[in-house]
Amino acid sequence: MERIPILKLKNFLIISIQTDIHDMIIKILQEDILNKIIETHARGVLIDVSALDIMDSFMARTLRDSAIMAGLIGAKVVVTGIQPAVAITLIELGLKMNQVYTANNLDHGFEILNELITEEDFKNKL
Amino acid sequence: MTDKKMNVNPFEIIQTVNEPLIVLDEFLSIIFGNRAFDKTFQTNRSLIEGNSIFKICEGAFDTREVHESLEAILTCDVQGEGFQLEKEFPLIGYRIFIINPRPMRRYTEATEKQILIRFEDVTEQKKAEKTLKLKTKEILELSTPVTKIWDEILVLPLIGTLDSHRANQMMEQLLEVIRDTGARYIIMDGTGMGAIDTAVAAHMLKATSAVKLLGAQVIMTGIRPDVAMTMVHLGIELGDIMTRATLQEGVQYAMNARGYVIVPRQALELKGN
Repeated sequence: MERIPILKLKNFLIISIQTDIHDMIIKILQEDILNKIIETHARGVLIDVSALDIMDSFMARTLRDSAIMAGLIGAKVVVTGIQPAVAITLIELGLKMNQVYTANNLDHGFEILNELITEEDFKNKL
Repeated sequence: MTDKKMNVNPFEIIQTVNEPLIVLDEFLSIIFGNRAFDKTFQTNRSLIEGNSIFKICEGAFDTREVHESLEAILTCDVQGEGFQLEKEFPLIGYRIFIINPRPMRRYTEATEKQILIRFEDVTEQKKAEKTLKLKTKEILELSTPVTKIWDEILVLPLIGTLDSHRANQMMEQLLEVIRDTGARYIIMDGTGMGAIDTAVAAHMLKATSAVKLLGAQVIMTGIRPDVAMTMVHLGIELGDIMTRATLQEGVQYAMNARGYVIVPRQALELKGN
């Protein structure tokens, strides 16, 4: 079965979803992300969806769930590059992505992750 | 009474009508055209009468629609539907006509079929419609003046009343700009905004959620006191939208969040000394 590659950069994981993918593959991706976080002790995950012109509710929900699950095992997730059309569809569908951090592009997402992690470290030191 | 009726000449009536009219016989030759027809198409009775409709005006009426419509009347005697003829006419130039052909009631001794064709010049009307549509579109575009005021900070003044069409257009345009500029703070200024109702509020909430999905944050500023009062009376809640009293404060907040501080030069000079 086709898999979406997960790249590791320092203590972050980077995932880029390039094509409209099958429900099964996104489910596998969810598992892979969680396993990889445990394996690499990653602190943050960047998921880039800028190449997607459409996103169905299943995929959006799975992404959101993945973010919450990753949070439970100690990694922050930022979804980057959501297209305007996708954003409008998700809003029309009434899908709330409140728990997920979003960013315009990878740079911005990287910045947010760094901020979140520094904040967390600061709290832990206290 | 019957005698009086027989004396009515339909052509005399037609002659007085202001709209261009022609009467055809069953071979589609013109029996009669009224003055308005002559005037509209800049022709003359002597030039058209007796000629086929497809021959007059340099064959301007020799089109498929005219053929079909007239043949339908001749064969089934049904009243044809009006149709639009849009083309470059000789002498009078580009015109749009609604053409209404219909079978004529036969008077007294007339036994052959006759068709009356009415022309309606809608060129000006169509032109006006077109301009109106264009202008509406232009105004809609103008009404979303998204301006970049600093790195990653946009200002969107809300002007006039928002209906759902405008709100959707505004949201789409705003999202495009956010994607293209990579903005992170959007200051929506409601100083020029009319009254707000529940529908408009719902649209604004939708827009803010969509903006958030793109990784940006909306800061609402300049909600007028009376608007704020109506909003509370209507039970509209803006949820977690950041609000500030004035545009200035909104800009200040966004700048601070981006790590810029606005200080008067004096303060810096004093420190320097």
